[in-house]
Amino acid sequence: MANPLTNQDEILFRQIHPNCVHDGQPASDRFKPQPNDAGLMSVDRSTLTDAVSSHALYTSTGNQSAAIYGVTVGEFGEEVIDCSEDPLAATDTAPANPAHALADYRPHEEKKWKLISKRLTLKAKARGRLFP
Amino acid sequence: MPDLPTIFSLHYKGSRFRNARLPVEVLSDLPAFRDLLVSYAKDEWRRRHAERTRVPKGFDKSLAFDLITIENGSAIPKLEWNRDSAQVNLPGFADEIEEIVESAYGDVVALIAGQSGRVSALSSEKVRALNRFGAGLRDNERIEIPDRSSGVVVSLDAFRRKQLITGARETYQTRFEGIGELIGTHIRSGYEGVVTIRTTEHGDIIVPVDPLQIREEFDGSLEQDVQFELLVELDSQDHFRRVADVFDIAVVDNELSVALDKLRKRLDEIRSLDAGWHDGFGLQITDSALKAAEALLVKRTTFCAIFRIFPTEAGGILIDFESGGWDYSVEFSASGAAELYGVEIDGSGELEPEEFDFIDEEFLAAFDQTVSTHG
Repeated sequence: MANPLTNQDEILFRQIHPNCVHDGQPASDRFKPQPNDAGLMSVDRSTLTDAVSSHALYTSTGNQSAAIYGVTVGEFGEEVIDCSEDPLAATDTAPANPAHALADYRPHEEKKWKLISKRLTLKAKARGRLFP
Repeated sequence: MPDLPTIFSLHYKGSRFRNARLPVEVLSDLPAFRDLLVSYAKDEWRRRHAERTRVPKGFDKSLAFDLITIENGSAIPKLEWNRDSAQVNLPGFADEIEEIVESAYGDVVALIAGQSGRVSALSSEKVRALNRFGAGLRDNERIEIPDRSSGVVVSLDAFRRKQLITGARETYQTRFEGIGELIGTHIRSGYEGVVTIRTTEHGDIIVPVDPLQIREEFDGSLEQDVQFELLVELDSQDHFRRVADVFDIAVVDNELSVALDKLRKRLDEIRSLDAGWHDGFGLQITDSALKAAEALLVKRTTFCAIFRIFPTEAGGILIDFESGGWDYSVEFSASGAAELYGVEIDGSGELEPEEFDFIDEEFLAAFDQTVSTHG
């Protein structure tokens, strides 16, 4: 894996799709990799971008995001989930995203991801919605 | 050599039947077999003449059978349909009756062979005939009946008879829980009242309710949701026949009703999502998952005000809710199986995902116990 993120206080942004928001709250499965993620969950680093820019970049290609919530590198660490840099170069269909990073759930059994996601979602909700 | 279309053979197998001997106590099988055949013939007539609810006068008499011989092998009584009986009682219909009898015979064979759905669909007339047909069979004896179309032989022995008779009911009763709309109340007398509930599953159903309860709870609540737990009688096609018993029925509290309605709309939104609903990812949400989620809403209406519902990218549904300092999830897979899990909000407690095949009593008991244990 690429360079690990070491700043425990760095907030990592997670985009929440509009279908995954009900009564203004995100689904508790948003902080775990989804079936096509191969155990690696995408986030954006707050030391390299801000929530407004992260949202703008994410939606610039037609993706939808109703909200951004965030969890720190340290909070991922409490769940024994390592995070690392994963800057994305520009492609024909997407702009570059130097702030992109990955949270690695692969050391855990997939069954455990659900409880991890619930705990991280609670922390994210406690921090509050970061955008809009 | 195959029988002629008008001849029907019953092959009695067992030492008592050697050399074409037929004990007198089994002779009552013959009119019983005839009655079974006639019952299926009536069904066939009604299928052919959907505009008629009854068979024509003389139909029964047109199906007279004669015992024409008992052949060796062990004992093979042969019954012949008397075509004259049709010509006399239903002039002009003899050819059709012949076809009907042949079809009815196929139905009898199918019944004994145990083809899917046959037993549960038996009318009382057929059950009465079955109660007599083969009643004198002993252990190690059987009646074999050839399937004319395939040549396969089906057997009726004491065990199979018992299976058929005990499994044979025209209707069956089952528990029915749900929520419907109150569309009518009626007090027939001081002791007898009914309410009419409009349900999604069985349309409008009439439920007996104590007149006092109607006056106190149902009057003035037209068009409101009513939650019920009933024992209902359904036919073999699962069509509603009647309410057999009432375990619980009550008007749903207005706030809960509003909450339920809101969640149903949320499920409708989720139902309308196409595949790729999550920026190109996300499977279409399955009917199984949607039905399971709807069932949970109906069965645990009191939680509707705190449930939040989401689609999952795997084609299922996730329901989140907080209760007693815990954050719970019920997740329905695309197959409709359920998982219940949770974490303590301000602590380290966790409830590992527990899997259930369906939203059944076992799941609901676990749900109730979990929520009540943790608060």
